[in-house]
Amino acid sequence: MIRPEKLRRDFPILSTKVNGRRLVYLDNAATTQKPRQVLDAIRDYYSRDNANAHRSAHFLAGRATAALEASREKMASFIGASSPRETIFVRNATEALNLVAGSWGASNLRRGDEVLLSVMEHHSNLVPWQAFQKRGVRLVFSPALSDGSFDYEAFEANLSKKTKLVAITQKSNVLGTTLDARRICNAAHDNGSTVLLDGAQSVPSMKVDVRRFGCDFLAFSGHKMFGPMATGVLFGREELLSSMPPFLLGGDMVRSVSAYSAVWNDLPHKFEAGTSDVAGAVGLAAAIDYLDKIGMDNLHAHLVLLTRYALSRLSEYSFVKTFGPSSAAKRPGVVSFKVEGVHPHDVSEILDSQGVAVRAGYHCAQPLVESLAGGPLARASFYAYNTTADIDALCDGLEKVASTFRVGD
Amino acid sequence: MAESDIYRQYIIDLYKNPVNYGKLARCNRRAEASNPLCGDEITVYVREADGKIAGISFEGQGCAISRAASCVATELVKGKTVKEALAISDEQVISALGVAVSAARLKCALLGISTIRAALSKVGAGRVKKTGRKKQPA
Repeated sequence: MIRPEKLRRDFPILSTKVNGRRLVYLDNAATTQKPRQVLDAIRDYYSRDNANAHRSAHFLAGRATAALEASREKMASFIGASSPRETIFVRNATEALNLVAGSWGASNLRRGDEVLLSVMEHHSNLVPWQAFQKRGVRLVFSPALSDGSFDYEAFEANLSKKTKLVAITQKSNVLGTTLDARRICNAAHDNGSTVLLDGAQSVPSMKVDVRRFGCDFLAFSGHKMFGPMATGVLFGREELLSSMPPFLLGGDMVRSVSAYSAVWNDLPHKFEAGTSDVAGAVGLAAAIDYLDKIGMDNLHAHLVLLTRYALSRLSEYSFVKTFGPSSAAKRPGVVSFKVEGVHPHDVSEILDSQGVAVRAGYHCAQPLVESLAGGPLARASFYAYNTTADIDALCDGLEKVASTFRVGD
Repeated sequence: MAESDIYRQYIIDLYKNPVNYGKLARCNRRAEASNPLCGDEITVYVREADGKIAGISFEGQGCAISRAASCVATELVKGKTVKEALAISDEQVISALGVAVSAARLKCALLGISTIRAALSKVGAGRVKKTGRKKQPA
């Protein structure tokens, strides 16, 4: 069991006042707030250990290198990777997905191949694959059922001999719909396809085990799970990463360089050109410690509980329409909704005046939101420190929206 | 409170019952614009006669601020010469709207006037021959 009231004390920013009211932060699918343990770890790193990792041989460089690699080992074990060599530090999930597209995709996808995605992709796992259409690669979209849950049968029917890659979100950032990763990976591998999971929303909200899932790649961000901004990870199976060309070229990703050629460094450094954000990695390690203390299963259960409460409270209002599966367990932590006759930006502005932070718009998933709602949506998303009182504040805010706009008049 | 500043009664009224709203018969200038981030879409129709704006209307999807500001902007340019209309500044529109628009919502508030300017500035592409009953994208 999570005690969010107790956790909240670790988050200095949550005591912010907005228009004289308590901040109710419900935009966690965009980014989460950071506990003081993460903030302290970053400050301590810069106060005691800072130097350029993997370069110089002096005292501080040794400490910085050790800190970076300790973080990598922690991350590898957090996601169940076989080795830290399978854990590449990047800036965010978008960069991780671009790495797979730019390196694995560029050397493996050929004319006539298909990439199987879902209709729920975030733009970051859609736009990089659209670029391959120029070279004759076809994009195939696996549908969702009308209630917003994933259609596994249609997915399996969409797998064909041409499906070279399944690039699919494990959890929709709009609907919260969470896919059974193991089922997806098994079906794809039986078909001989490589699997890339977009874990930007799933990794922060549930126990993830890449070996149990059987995925080939997993991309996610650190900043959506208590970690610092501009931290992210690409997990890749070592065998695949070893065979792939580097993505960015430059310092540290090479072992030796002559004027006209270079020999690539070993994993994971082959994919980490340029100076690493060691402080970011250190902060991310502190975030993992914090998550481990909470327990991912407890966190998941808490998100299910909050989502169930939110869906039930929102159903009291005839002027509010929610989207996605009715079962909270199938979509923990995310509730997208519309207020009848009111544009989501007006909804979010009035909620903001009440201290309630939600997101409004297309949520970087325009094709899905267009087909689902015919226009933009508001979204409330929860994390460990949210309480049912936060959801009550959201509902009070929605009553304010309704009265301001004389909804139902 | 901030919301009572911006969501005044007349803003909500304009949102629910916009003026100069809908397609305009016999228009000879038209422009479309959208703000994909928030999903706002607007089409402005202008009937220009003897260098003056004899008729103007708009339609589309938008938030309360965007729609109310488009109402205000169309009212401001109505009857003016094209030159006078093009001289109307962003500040004039905001001041006519009469509420404090935050930086984040400025784009919403100015979508109407900027599309009006586009319709008035485009000589070739913006003109619609004859009736203006050109088919709209769905």
